[in-house]
Amino acid sequence: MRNLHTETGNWRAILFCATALAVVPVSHSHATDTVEAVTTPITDAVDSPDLDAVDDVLIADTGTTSEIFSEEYFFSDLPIVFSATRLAQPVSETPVSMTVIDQEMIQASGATEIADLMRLVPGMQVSNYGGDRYFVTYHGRADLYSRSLQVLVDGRSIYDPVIGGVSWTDLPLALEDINRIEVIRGSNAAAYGSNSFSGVINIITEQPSKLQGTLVKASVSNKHTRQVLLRNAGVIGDLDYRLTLNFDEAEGLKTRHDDSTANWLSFRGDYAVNQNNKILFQAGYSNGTQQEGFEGNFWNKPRDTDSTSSFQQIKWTHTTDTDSEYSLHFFHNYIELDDTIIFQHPLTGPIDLITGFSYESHRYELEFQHLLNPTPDLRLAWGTGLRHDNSKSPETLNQDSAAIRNQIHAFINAEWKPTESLTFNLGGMVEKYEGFSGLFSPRVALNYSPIKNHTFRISQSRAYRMPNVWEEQIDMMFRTTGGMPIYQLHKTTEVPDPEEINTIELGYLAAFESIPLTLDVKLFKEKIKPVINYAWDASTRCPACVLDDGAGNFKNDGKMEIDGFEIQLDLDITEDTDLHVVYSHLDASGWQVSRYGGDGLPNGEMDMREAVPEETYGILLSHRFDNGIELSSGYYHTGKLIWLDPGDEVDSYSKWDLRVAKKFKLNDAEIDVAAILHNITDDDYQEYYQVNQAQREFHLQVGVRF
Amino acid sequence: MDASYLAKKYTAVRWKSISPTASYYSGCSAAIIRQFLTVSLFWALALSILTVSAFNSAEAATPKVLIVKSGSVSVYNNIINATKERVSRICSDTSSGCKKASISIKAVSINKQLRSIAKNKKWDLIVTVGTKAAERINSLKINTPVLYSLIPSSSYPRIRSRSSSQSRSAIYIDQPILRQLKLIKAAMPNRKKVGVLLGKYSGIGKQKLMQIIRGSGLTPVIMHVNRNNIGNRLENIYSRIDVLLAIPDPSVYNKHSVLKVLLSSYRHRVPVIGYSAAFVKSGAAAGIYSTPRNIGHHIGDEIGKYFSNNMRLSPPAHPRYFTVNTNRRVISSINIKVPSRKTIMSRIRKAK
Repeated sequence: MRNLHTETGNWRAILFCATALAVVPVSHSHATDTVEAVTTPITDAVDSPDLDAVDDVLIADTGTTSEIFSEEYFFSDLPIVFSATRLAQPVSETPVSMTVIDQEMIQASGATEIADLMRLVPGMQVSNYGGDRYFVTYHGRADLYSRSLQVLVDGRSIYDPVIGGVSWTDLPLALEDINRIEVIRGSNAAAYGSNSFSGVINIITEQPSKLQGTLVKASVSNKHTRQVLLRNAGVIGDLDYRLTLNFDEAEGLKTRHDDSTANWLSFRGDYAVNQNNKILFQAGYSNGTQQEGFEGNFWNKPRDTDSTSSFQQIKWTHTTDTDSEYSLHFFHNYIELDDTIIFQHPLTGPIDLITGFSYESHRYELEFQHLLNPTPDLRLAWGTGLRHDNSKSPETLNQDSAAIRNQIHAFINAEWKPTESLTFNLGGMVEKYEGFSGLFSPRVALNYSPIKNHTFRISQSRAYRMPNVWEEQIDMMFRTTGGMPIYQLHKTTEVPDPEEINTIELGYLAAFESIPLTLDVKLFKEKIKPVINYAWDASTRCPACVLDDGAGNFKNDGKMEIDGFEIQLDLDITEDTDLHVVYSHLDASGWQVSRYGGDGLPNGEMDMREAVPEETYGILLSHRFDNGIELSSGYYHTGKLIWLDPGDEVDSYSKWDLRVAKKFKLNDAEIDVAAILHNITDDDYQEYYQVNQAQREFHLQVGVRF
Repeated sequence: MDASYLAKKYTAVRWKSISPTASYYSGCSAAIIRQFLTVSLFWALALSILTVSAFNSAEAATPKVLIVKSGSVSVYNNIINATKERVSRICSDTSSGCKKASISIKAVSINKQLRSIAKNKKWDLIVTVGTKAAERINSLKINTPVLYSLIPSSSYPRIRSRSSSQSRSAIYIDQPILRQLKLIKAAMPNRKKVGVLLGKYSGIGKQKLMQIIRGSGLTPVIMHVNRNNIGNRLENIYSRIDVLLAIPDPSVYNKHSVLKVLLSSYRHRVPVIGYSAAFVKSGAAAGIYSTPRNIGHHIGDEIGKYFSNNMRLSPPAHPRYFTVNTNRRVISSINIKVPSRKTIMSRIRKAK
């Protein structure tokens, strides 16, 4: 029965788990009532069959060991691995609904992109922008940036401050390096920080000690993707490390100008200073090119863009002997996009005009966290941190200086388990952005298990999404190469307020030990008000511009409600056959202004029902044969929806995938060959843009591990 | 015929009582009686010489045991207290062999005086507690019978080979494999695939172990590991097993590796069966081990038995008494069902 538990490998997860674990401190859990079999001794004659098994080699070696093998070995203390802060947590005690995608499921899905895995999560939609650029959203209402999802990789938020979303393409992370992905379905800012608005994708990479050795993997496809992945992991003294290198080339969709390359390098080091202190260090660098634009579009014309990103992350964790844990976490993300567009406009003739989306952003974050168990039935996690964002984009912000945004925050989460069947979770985060008023995001949840294996949950939460730098201060125009303003494309005239979401959720979870079945049902109501809407605003003026007829603007006009239910079912039909089924039904209502007149009053609005697909579902069935062959098939359906500007309305579609793989050994090497078919039926469904037409994809992957 | 042999004979006679059996007399001739008297005389002489030279004391009738502990920490003291408690209980029991004479027990640590104390011929039995004490006594080259206790079964052959005493035995610190398997069957009957990681000090070969596990109706998955490959092997083995049986071996389970072993165990939701209280405290789902008290009681039994059984030591054995412990937080976290310790214990007792 997989996916029943949360991983606790990174700090946010730890925080989260700390808020929800129900435990008795270690001091209470051991040696409470040991039982001595004084009355009925087991006789040695029966129980000592292994006496003769001692051989001379063992004896000869004993003296040379640095490890003590004497009674001290049996009576000396071991580090308390199992502590409140580290243990996996039964899903029945979490204050949220979640989906866990483990490495086994990642492989079975045949996904070649991280984003594609989100089809295995109820309520998630995945789309292809073109090339190797994918994006995901939870409950629709999205453009290509997945702005409302928080995405963490080992506790590092990869949410970019400028675009206000996630650039999956730049992520130096291989599917092969992931241990598991925990997707929190619903807002949870109290535990995962700001922008955990509609949901959280929490990616936990594999510990290097699990990956020891070298992996060489090559993939090709009929889409002309060529990928080579090299990985080496090992142990040097007390340091476990992993180094991964990736070279990627893709020709993308037939109908788009979207060739891309992505070359990256990532490193993870886990250093055990001593029993109580450990340090995690990670760094990555990525460089790639993406083709952009459309034939026939005079300014968003076909062109090559170039992006570079890097990150550094260090986390120190100190575990005390009294079952509390302190951690200090620092990271820096850097993204640079080079996308300057020089074009000629029919109206201005041969004069070169210039615009573009180039930007450069740094995010620095430092956070302290303390996890503790003040009493056996109470667990606490609290912490505080600061963040500094520094974004430069002369082309989109119309200023040479950097846009600076500082934030400070503090959070606390408490889990109280007064009885075996009741768990209360209370949490909240206060954050203060420079120039904005303070925000408070609370969460309250009650889990009740009247009968063993059956849990009911009720929870309520509020979260905010801060406007990103573009939403806050975009000022993008066409100019002459000499700098004369020609035409305003986008301009924020008034800084919008953060979006606010209020959610109430009812959950039911059935998890059995006797039958390998887990069923998770969630009913919910989400209210988003205010929203940040993007609209054409004829009243937005550019007096200096040659052509002044309005521009795109970000405002706070609209509201939205989504009611619905989600079902997730995991069934291990046999030990080697697994079934994963997800279904979501969303019923949205609401509107947002899509156009303002010259007087600044709304004169057009979008029905937000259309931005949310009514039905999304997915089925993944996998089987492992005794001879090492793995067979799996996934079927995914997404209902009709309109992607927000600049996306299009796309029809509902289904995608059927198949994977056949075989693992075998050759001398000392483990070889893994996989053939993957995406969209078996060669359906020409559309994704994001109507012009993005899918085709059947055939991928062949060969991995050698030694 | 060396001195220890004589001493043994002498003490055996003393404990068995000198009077021959009735059948010995039946139909005996004068020659036989004469021979008997000669032998008796010889023995009487030998006895008196030994009494004077070795014991040099009026308390010659009280059997004396020297317990040598490897240190002064509480573990050893708890063992010795339990031993003494056990011996006095046995000797107060009228059905036991030591009812008439109480046994004198002296406990000492390894120190400079040990040589002179131990070399003193007055000891009927030396009990070592722990590996250091065993090695120290061996280094003294004395012939007194020795019971080596609190040593890993895998190191006994080495200790035995260095022992100069002809009469020796051991009470190990570790549990017999079968008993550990009984715990698995009692605590988690649905878990059939048992994983075992073997290292260089595990003290049992793969084939032998497979045989034992199969013999218990379980399916073995056994892997050899070392410090460098344990991470990978753990991932591999956890994905194939229902339960991991930890066999004490510092090259496999140590302060550094236990983190990996247990964290992987939680991730795979595979319970670990530990071999010590510390292992269960650290995060194994359950454990079977002998506490100092358990071992002390076994030593006490063995001392009583020794003096009531012809000065014969029992064969080397795993601890007779043991403790079952569970870590409820781990059990609930990995979502398995495990009965109470009492139930587990009674199931283990009932298992044949």
